[in-house]
Formats: sequence, C-alpha cells, structure tokens
Amino acid sequence: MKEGLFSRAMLWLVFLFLLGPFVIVFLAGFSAGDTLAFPPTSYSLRWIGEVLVADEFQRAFRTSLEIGLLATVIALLLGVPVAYAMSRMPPPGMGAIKQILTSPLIIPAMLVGLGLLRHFVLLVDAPVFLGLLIGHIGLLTPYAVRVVYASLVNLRVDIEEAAITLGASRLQTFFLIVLPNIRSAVIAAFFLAFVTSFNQVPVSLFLTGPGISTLPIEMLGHMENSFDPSIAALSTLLVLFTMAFVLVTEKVLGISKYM
Amino acid sequence: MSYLELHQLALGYGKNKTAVEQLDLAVEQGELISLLGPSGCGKTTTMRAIAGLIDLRAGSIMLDGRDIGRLPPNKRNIGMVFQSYALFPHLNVFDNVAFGLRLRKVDAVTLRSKVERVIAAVGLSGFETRLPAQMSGGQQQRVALARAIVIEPKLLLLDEPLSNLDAKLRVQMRAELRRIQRELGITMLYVTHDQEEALALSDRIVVMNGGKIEQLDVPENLFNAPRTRFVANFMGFENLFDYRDGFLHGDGGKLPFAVAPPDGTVCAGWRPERVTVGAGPYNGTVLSRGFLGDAVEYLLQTPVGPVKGMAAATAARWREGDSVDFALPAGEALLLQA
Repeated sequence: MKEGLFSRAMLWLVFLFLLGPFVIVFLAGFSAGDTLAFPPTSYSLRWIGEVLVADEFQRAFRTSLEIGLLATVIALLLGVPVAYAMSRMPPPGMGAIKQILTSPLIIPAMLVGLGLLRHFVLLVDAPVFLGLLIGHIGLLTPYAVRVVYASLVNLRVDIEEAAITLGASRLQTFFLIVLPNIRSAVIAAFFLAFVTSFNQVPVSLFLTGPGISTLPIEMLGHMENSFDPSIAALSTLLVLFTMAFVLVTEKVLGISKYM
Repeated sequence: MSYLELHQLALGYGKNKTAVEQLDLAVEQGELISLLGPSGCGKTTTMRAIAGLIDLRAGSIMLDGRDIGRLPPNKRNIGMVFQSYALFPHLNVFDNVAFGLRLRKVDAVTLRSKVERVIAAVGLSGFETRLPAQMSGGQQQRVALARAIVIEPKLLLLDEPLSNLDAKLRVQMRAELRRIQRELGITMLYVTHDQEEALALSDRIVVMNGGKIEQLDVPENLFNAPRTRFVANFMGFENLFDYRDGFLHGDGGKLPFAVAPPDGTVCAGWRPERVTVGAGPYNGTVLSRGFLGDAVEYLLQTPVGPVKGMAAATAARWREGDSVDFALPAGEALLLQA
C-alpha cells in the first residue's frame, strides 16, 4: 500500500514537472494586462484576439505550415525508398550509412544551420524560401528513414515473395503489400517530421531572411522587442492547434488501430 | 519429356556459397513429389529457384515444355505455400485469396465464384471477412493453400507447410492436402525434413544431402531398401556398421557377422526394432533405457560402438550398467554396396 502511494505521488510529480510550465503559459495567455506576468491580475481573450489578427504572425504561421508540410512530404518521398532499400538489399557499408543518417540527430542543429547558411545563402545565393525548405528536408529525412526502416525490418520478407509468386510486380508488391503494412510508421514519421520542422529554431534561425520567417523565429524576434502576453497567447493557440491536428488525423486515418 | 525438368541446376548465395552443385530431376504431371533432407541440404534453395526467387547460376528449368529458368517470378504462374504461411496481414481471408486473381484482372463475378469455391474446398466458408491474425495456425495454413491454388498454377510448391502445426493437426492436414491434390490433379513439389510426412504424402521422394540427390524413389523402396548410408540413417536404420572380411567394424572394435553377404557389401544396418535385446551371440552394457509401452528401447555399449535395440516390455528387466546379450539378425540386415 505504501509503495502504491509513493508511485502515485511520483506520477503526479512528473505530471507537474511536464505540464507545469505549460499551465503558466496557458494562464498568462489569457491575461488582460499589458505585460507578461504570472499569475495574471485579470483574465480576458484580448491577446488571443490580437495574435490572431496580427499580420506578422499570420504570415509566419503560413510560412511554417508551408515549409513544414512540403519538407515533410518530400522527406517521406525520399526517406521511404531509402529505408526500403536499406532493409531489403542492405548495401555494403550499411553501418556507415546508418551512422550518416543518424548524424543530423546528433550533430548540433546550430552547426547544421550555419553550414547550410554558408552553402545556400552565401555560396549559391539561393532564394530564402528554397534554402529554408532544403534545410528542413535535410533535417527531416533521417527521421523519416529511421522510423520507416524500423518498421520495415519487422515486416516479413516472405509476404512480399508470396505476392510476387501470385503475379505481382516489384512495384505492385510495394504499393499493395508493403505500404499498407507500414502505414502506421509512415504516419508516425509524418507527425514526427512535421512537428520537428514546425518547432525548428536553430536551423531556421540561420536560413530565414528578409520578409520570410517561420513562426518560432517570428516569436523569438517579437519577444526581444516587446514583453507583452501575445507570445503566451500564441503558444496556447499552437498547443491547441497541434492537439486538433492530432485528433483530426486520428479520426481520419485511425492511427490508434495500428498502435 | 516430363512435365517439370531440372537440368544441371547450379544454385548458390552470394559469390562463394554454393547450395546446389548439379541437380537433375524430372517430375510427371499430377505427381506429388517431396524434397526430403536435413536443413542445409539444398531442398529449399531448389524450390526457391523453381519459383524464381533466386537466380540460377547454371542449368535450366523446363515446365510444361517451356524454359522458365530465366522468367521473372511473377510471370511463372507457380503457386507457393510458405512455412510461415506469409498471409497478407492487412487483408481479410477473401482478399488474401483474391489477390492473385485481381492481378490477373479477372472480372468481379468470376472472381467471387472462384474465390468462394476454393475457400469452400479448404473448409473455410464463413471465414471470408476474418483477418489472418484472428485465425489459428491451421486455418491460416488453409488460407495460404487456397490463395496459392486459386490462380490455377502450373505447379504448386510447398515449403514445410505443416511444420508450424501441432502433431495431431499435422496428420489431419496431411490427409487433406493429399485429397485436394488428387481432386485438382495439381502437380506438387513438397519440401520437408520430416521423413514420416514425406513417406505418408508422396508419390515419389527425392532425398537430398549436401546439395545433391542421394536417392529418388517411391516411399516403399526408400523405406525398405535405401541405397546409401545417409538415406538408410534417415529412414530409421540407426545401427549402421562397416562390413569387411566377415566382420562388422565400428568404434575401434569388431563383431563377427554370421553369414557371407553378397560381394561388394560395405555396410550393414538394422532398425532398432530388428535388434533383439536379451538373447543372442553378442554382449553389451546398457547405457540407457526408454519405456515405449509394448517394448523397451535400449541403448547398449558394444565393441562396435552404441547399438540401439528393443526388448518386449514383459521381459525387459535390465537396468543401466547391466550386461546383456543381444543379436543383430543377419536375415534382417540391410546390406549396402555404397
């Protein structure tokens, strides 16, 4: 009984640790005052309304969404075939390839950002949006490969062979047999990659430029200039947006069936 | 010309690993032929080569008068049943079975009737909407069989299809497989390491060892008159001894052999049930005993090494370490010239 009490207490402590900061932001977002304060002296929807109509936030949100969705889709289009090839026809030097694919998860994103800045902006003089997009694709592809590869390794090869003996071509086998069975991994990779892109600061910091900014960068800039509760309000909206995003995809795609 | 002919087949994996060096085999239409052998003997490799899942190094595969050895596997029209069943986990029974027909663009009405007929033939009517994960091993096995035969393949390959089932179900499925094979008149190549299964099912059996055919024969001949030591051992002649100059040799010692065998005899063998324990010209020490119901099986230490024999349960009073007489009846011996 004592242990039950102890573990329950630990559970609540962990919850508090994880959710506490969010509660502060959440409450601050509904402040009616002019400066960021906790606890707020009075509550209103004032700042929620302000960030919703603010031009710079709308633009940055759209950029984030565009970059996030485009980069995620392209990363999956690149990553799924790579993962398939790695799992079914392991090339020589497989260990090295895996290391390289993991490296963006290990190398500080700051470094990647700086390197990409030199490459795209200073060397090639690529448009800002394109540089940002390519930077994000490079960042997300390893996530896509990793997640999908793990699922492919667990998928039996003999069901593909069965499909082939029944008359399916390699391509048909991939689309009719392999893809439906790694669906949950592809969806998981999609979420992971999109959220990574959407929350990305270090790489974006280097690659955003005049007129084009992602939401986190815009928020960072805003906080440096003014100390009003709009960032808290916006953060609250973002959390709600993410939750809605997950709920809708869950309803539409039914991922929990696969988990 | 036979229905299926393998000529000088050479198979292997990678650059260096050879699985089958040179294999010739002819199978008649409607025949059920087994490839029997221990793991690593090349039987599964041979089957996969016929299916087109691995490339030939050399040789040819003729099926129904056509060389299919270089055709891609999806153009061969050969059905295959896998050891793990390999059902598509995301498709229900109906869609699993219909998969091959859909690829062949069979119209919906024909497809439905064909699929339903074959599902009925394997005794799974009413299970059409089940997913593979919701079925027992035996049922999954039937789905795999239905899926492979519904495309009316020229040849059906079965890779140890019963090895994941429990003993009782295995015997039951064996009979069912035989019935379906007879009804459809389908030519089957059956891979197994279980000699009892091969003997019970096959028209003919190919015993393979080290990538080569040891013996190809009907079950009766294989069982009663194996021609090599390997086959003899595989068919239950567990007591095998070298024969030279009137003596059985083994383990550094020898025993006299009562009669003169035909010229060229190099080996003599007995099944354990033919070795009588309790009386006879030879003497040994009991290493272990096992009660089998009617009889007791003994493992004896003898001058020619361990010998396995039987005694009637009523007379079997010897225990581990006891000295006991035994006989290797010359009239019951299998004599090998190779």
